[in-house]
Amino acid sequence: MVIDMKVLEVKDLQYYYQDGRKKRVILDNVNAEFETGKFYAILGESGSGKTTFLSLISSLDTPQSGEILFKGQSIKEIGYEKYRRNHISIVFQNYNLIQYMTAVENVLVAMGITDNKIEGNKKEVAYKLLEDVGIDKETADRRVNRLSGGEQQRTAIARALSTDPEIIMADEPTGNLDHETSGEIIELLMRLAHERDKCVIVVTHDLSIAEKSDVILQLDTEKKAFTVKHNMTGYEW
Amino acid sequence: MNLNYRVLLYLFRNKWKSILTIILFLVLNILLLSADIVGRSLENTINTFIQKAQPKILIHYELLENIGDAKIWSDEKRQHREIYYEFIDKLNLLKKNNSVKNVSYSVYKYCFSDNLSTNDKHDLDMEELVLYGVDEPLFYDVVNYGINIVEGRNISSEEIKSTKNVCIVSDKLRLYGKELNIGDMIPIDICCFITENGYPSYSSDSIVDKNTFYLEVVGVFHGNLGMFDYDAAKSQYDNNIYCPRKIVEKYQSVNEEQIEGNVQITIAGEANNLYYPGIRDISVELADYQSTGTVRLYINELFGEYNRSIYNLDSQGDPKHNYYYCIAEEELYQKTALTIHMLENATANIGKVTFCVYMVMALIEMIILLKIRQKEIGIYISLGNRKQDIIKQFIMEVGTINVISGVVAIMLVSSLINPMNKYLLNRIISVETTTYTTDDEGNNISKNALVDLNKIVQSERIDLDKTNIISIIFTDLVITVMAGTLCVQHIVREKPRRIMLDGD
Repeated sequence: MVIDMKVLEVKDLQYYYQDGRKKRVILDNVNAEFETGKFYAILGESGSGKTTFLSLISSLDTPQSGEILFKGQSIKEIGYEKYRRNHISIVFQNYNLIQYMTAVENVLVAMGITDNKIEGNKKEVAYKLLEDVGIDKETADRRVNRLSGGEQQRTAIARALSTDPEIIMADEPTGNLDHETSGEIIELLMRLAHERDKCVIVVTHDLSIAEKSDVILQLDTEKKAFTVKHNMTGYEW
Repeated sequence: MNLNYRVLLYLFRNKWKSILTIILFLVLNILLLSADIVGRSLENTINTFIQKAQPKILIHYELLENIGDAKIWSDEKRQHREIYYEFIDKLNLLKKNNSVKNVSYSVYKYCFSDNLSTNDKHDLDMEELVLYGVDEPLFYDVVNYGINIVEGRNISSEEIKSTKNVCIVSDKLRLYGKELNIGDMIPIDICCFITENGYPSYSSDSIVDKNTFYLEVVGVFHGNLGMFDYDAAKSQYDNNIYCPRKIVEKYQSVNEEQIEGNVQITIAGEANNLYYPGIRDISVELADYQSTGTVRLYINELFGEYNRSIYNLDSQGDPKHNYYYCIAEEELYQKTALTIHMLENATANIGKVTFCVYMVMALIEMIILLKIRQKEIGIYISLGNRKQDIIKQFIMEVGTINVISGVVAIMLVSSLINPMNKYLLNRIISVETTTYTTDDEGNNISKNALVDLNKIVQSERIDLDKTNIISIIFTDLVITVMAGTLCVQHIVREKPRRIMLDGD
């Protein structure tokens, strides 16, 4: 039985930037909570601030005010690098793999960086992870610039898994993929949430993805805050 | 995957980029090393030139067609065998003391045969050289000879048999700051070269032999060598050097077997300007004495005079005495020194400019390289890589490239340094000499010639100075690492999101 546990909490998050003399508010007093074992979709129109939100909770950027708590502790106290290294993984729309390395080497890089203990031979574990996401050994030994978009994204997911994080964040992971491959990727991410008890947070503008999620956080462009909808019986706006 | 592996992976997977970067740094390293080499080459040139161009004591040994007393000079092509000796240390010492005037050295040797008589006043009886204590007369008193030996040691029979080269030196030499002790080795360079013309000059047509032999100091004598009255009287009448006829006569009958088995003694000391500039009893004997004949000794006066005088040792011999003018060492040196020093300064400045260029180029190169890889840096940051690890990785990459390019630069420059030195010598520096001679009719002739520096300094080989190499390569590394670190620091200072956006 999977016990859902609150793993990430966002309190009164505010983010803005100066556009000349004008202050452009992107997020204003945003609050949210995330639990393990759930698949979250952050939905919103273009420019609504959903990618900014993901940047903030993944510590790729810092808010002007507010708190982000990982298991009750501020990520600032944990240390942004350590937080990214050991507790979260990010999957990007454009994969962000190191092009001159092979798929398995990309996974090994992440394994070499994390402080989390990895049992067994790292290379074998990497191959296994890639296999789990649908990349065979032969493909895994190819340089990533020779792989298809879907294969690259799978490699990125395998890399994300390799450090055994509590949270996996994905920013428009299917943005560059065709419909069929997108479906496969989303299935993969959902399995991670439900079968491996990860907290998976996906930023998307795709309603079909939102339909499959457990929780939808819709970002209101005017209010600059979330409206939370639990998707138990079906999607509701 | 650890940092080392990441570094190697980048270098091997991006072969062409790595090679291009290595080539860029190679060019810069070569420029740096070359600037140093040119400076050192010029410095080496001037030092060697000073040594070579110093006045020499020449022993002009002529092969005559006839032996015996008849001296027939061939009007045709003469081949002169010139052998010059340099008392390297002594000449340098004297050079420093410009107040010393009209000092020169006389170089001569005695060749002893077994039947030396103690009555022969110009000979030193080897058996007389006995070892005494410091306070006792060390040698048989040979004051009559003008040689007052004040300290010395025995020469053993083994040394005699092995024809060991020894010398007795004047205690006056100690005034010049060099402590001459029994057992000290004085080096003498012998260079044999053959000239086609009758007048020796600094540039010879060919050098046939060059070696150094050493004289061990076995005795120190006081003061100068004296002369017999007869000799002194004779010297008033002509400018020929006093020649102990007996010695020459003896030498005329000496054959090689007699030469072997003798210790050859060279006596060197301060000249007595009262008579001749340094020449006393002359007998000139060389290890390769091949036949009888007249031996002519050329003496250069070190200061004040430009004369090189030839002294005929055989009073029956050559009726002519030729006087040579040549540009003295100072003048020759002055002609070249100014040029060389200017060039040295120029190369030093080139070195400094190259260094600054290197720093700027390294920085620019780092900036470009890291800008290209900004996205990769962003990926490492998004994975949680520590900033210092990212900096370490790039420093290791840059360091590896720098070491490879440095090693290749050193190998290339080492192989080219001597050809380059040779090329530079005669491209950058040239010296013209004017020699004044007299022909057979006694007419003065002047002759200009370009000095081929390669012949004077040709034996000098330059090697890269290890200290300089290490300091240049080390400085390269420090500059490149600093540039790399600054650039990476500049990038990672930004927020990760900005880094990744800019990298896209």
